[in-house]
Formats: sequence, structure tokens, C-alpha cells
Amino acid sequence: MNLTESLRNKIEQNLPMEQFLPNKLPIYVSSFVYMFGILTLTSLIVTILSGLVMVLNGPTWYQFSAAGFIFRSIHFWGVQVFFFFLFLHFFSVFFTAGWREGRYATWAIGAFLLMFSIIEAFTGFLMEGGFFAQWNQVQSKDAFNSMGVSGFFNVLNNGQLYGLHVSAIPAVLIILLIIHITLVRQKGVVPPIQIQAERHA
Amino acid sequence: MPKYVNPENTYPSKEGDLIKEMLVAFVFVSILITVLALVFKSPFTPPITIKQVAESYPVLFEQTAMRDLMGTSAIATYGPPYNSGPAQQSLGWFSPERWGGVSIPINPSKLYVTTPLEEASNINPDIQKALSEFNSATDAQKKVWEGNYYAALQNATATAGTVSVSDGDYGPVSPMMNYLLGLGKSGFMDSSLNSGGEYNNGVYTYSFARSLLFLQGEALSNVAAQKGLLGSQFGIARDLSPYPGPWWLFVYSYLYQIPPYSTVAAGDLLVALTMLGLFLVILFLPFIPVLNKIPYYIPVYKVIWRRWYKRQNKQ
Repeated sequence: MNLTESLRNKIEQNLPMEQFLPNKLPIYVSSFVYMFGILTLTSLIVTILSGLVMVLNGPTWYQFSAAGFIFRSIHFWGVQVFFFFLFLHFFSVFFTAGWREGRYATWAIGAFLLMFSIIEAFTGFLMEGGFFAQWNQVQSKDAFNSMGVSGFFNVLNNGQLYGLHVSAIPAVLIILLIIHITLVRQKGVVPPIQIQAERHA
Repeated sequence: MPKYVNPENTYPSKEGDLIKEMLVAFVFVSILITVLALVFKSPFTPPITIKQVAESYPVLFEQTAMRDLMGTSAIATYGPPYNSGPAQQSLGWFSPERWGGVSIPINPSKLYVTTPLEEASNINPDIQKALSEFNSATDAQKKVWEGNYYAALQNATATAGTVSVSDGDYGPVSPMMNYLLGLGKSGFMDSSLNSGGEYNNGVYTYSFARSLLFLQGEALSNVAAQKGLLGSQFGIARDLSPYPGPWWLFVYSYLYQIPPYSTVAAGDLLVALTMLGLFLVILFLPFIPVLNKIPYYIPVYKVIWRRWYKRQNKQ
């Protein structure tokens, strides 16, 4: 068996390119709520790009230089905008019962994305370098201690937080995001709820 | 293998361009975020150091150090992961805190009092004299000195950065505290505690656990209260006014405001478990009766797909 060939066949059969990148969309896709997912994704991209610039220059640059502080501010507002659209996306998917007709996996991956996004933003706030970070490090340590995870998630260790924030958690987020988007394209956009069916539901 | 069937193909379609939409969205959010960043900047308040606390609140500094020396501070009695006392966060037999073990060992009397004094005694032999007298005393004697000095601190006055207490039987504890205060004010405590000197000659100086665990409690909460960031004030979900903080942690910090979370000793464990439970609710929501019918009870979908239903009705 040729593994390369069978993988290619599997992809072609399950997610052909015209479905992955379609130029035709079902007619019911006509509402601004369909923008929330894309806006969440693009604000995440802006946040990741600003984070990359910050990582390349280091904490003293983004904390104490004028140019660095702009990127720190872009990173800060990027997260705010990201969560704003993330929750709009979450509620629009919820109110359209977006898990219907074989789309549960997309929903489940989305739930994990929500959780990891919150943990990612949380570690970011804990290493913002000021009093706010210090205060919330000592405040939140009790919750992590209570779960017995402080050995590998010690919120008082900036080295551990930095590693979690700039590599470990983003890696998980990006992998989950790729699966999420692939599933969205493979399953297609959830069709409208049939009003007759609703009466019997 | 069956041929792939596009589930969207059963519906009429129209022209669409996902990549163009994404590019437009990217330009839109880039401008939005950049404008927000340029106009509002981002919040930053310099961190608090042991040096600042020793300089600004010398009595508070000595009270904190005394509680550490006597073994009555919050960290001395914390249990895992800092020391081997009983775990505070347990629900009966369920105690992940205890199962986690002592992963970040902290011995406050040594770490915050006797070790810094020993290190500094190389420079000032007078410190060694006081420390030797303290170390060679019996435990009962130590307790008397410590108790007397701690009680005297209640009425202590701070003048020009030094602490004055009324005369009493304090043995070497009074000079020890004066020396320690001097070390705190010089910045020695901050750098010594955070140096990680016992590991790899301090090359990896990343953890601020030791200085933060000294400052936690009254020292930091005094400053936090001034800024309105106490846990009882929704601390973690807010940032320094007027900035939005991590508002998405609202539910997490709200739990701390209400019983039983706000009243039981194992409040932190209970909050952590509740958050885990809420995650599971979201994860399995499509299978949870009633919750999975909410979209049908509150028909927001009729607004979202109003054009589609209109078209259906026409047909």
C-alpha cells in the first residue's frame, strides 16, 4: 500500500478543493452573522502577528520603547477584538443550532478552542509585566494549586508562563483551528432550521 | 469508497468569494485594532517590589517577616504545593492539591528571614552575632522573643524608614528585624530571592514565586485595594480603569462573589471544578435536553435566515 497515495485519495474524496475553497455558496448564507467567524479568525491573525514582532524583540523592547509599546497595545486590543467576535460567533452558532446534521465535531473543537483561547489570554495577562500581572498571579495561584497542577503550570514562574503563552498553547490553538476550519468547509454551512420540523422537535 | 457529496449542493447557490471576504475582514480588523491601540494605548502600572514595601511600609514589612519567622503566615500554613502541611482545598477525600505534592518547596522562616541574614552576615558580622544568639536559643525562648516583638509591632512607629518599638524582651529578634528591613530597603531581598542561585548559578532567573509569595497577602492587597482590584471587587476580570480587562473571565470571578464559593474554605477548588463543569456543558450542549432546544425556544434563527424563509414562503 502506498501511504502517500491513500492519504491523497482520502483527502480528495473527503474534502475536494472545490469544497474547501468554493466559489459558490448556498443561497441561505446571506447574513452578517456569517462574518463573525472570519472576523474572529482575522483578529487572531493580527494578534499572532503582533505577538511575533514582540517575541522577536523581547520584553524590554515592548515594555519600554515607544515602537514596542505600540505593538504591545496592538496585541492588547487584538485580544479584546478577538474575544468580542469570538463570543458573537459562539452565540450565532448556538442560536442557529450549528451542530445539526453531523456537525457535532465542529462544535466540540470550537468548545476546546474557546477554552484554550481563554487560557492563552489568561497567561498573557499574567505576564504583562506590571502590578496587574503580579496581583493576578498571586490571586490565581490558589485555583491552580487547588487542582494540583502547579508543578507544570506554576503561574508565579514567568519562564513557564512565557513558554506556555508563546509556544505550547498557541501550537494547540493553531492545530485545533486548522481542524475546525477544515470541518466547517467539509461539512458545509449548516442549513436553515426547517420551520415545520421545529414544531415536531 | 463512496463519492463525496457536498451537503451544500442540495440547496440553490450563488457566487461567493471566501478569500476576498477574508482579506476585507483582515484589513478591517487591522485598522480597527491599530486605531484602538494608537488612541487608547495599553495599561501598565509598574510592579511592586519588596524594596518598595520595605521603604514605604516598614512596619508592614516587619510584620510580614515576623509571621514568616513564627510560621504563622499564609504561606507557612499553606500546605501543598509549598510545604507539607494539610491541604486547604479539599472536598472530603477529593484533594488534587494534596495529590499534586510539594512541587514548589518554600520554608518561609528560612527563606525570608534566616537565609537572607546569613548571606548578608558575610558583609556585616554584627548580623552573625544576632543570628547565632537566635539559633542557639531554645524553641521556647525563641517563641517568647518572637511573640513579644510581634505584639510590640502593633504599636510600632516608623520614623525615617526605621521601625521603633517600646522597650521589651525581644532578644536578638529586634536587631534581626532591623537588619532584615535594611536588606529589604537595599533591594537585596528582591535579587537574592529571585536569583535562583542554587540552580545553575542563577542563569535561569525566571521565577518570581519566592518574592511574590513574600509580598502576597497584606502587602500586595493594600495596593490592589487602592486600585479596586481585590478578588471581592471582581479583580481578575477587570483591568486598571478605564481599560477593559479580561472580561471573558467574568463568570469565573463572579463565582467568587457568591456563596458557597465565597464562604467555604475550599472555594478555589469549588470554583475550578465549576468552571470545568461549565466547559463540559458547552462541550456536550448539543446532547443536553432543554439546553439544546433553546435555539428553537428563542428563534433568533428566524431573523438570521429571514431572507431564506421569505423566499421559501414565496415558493
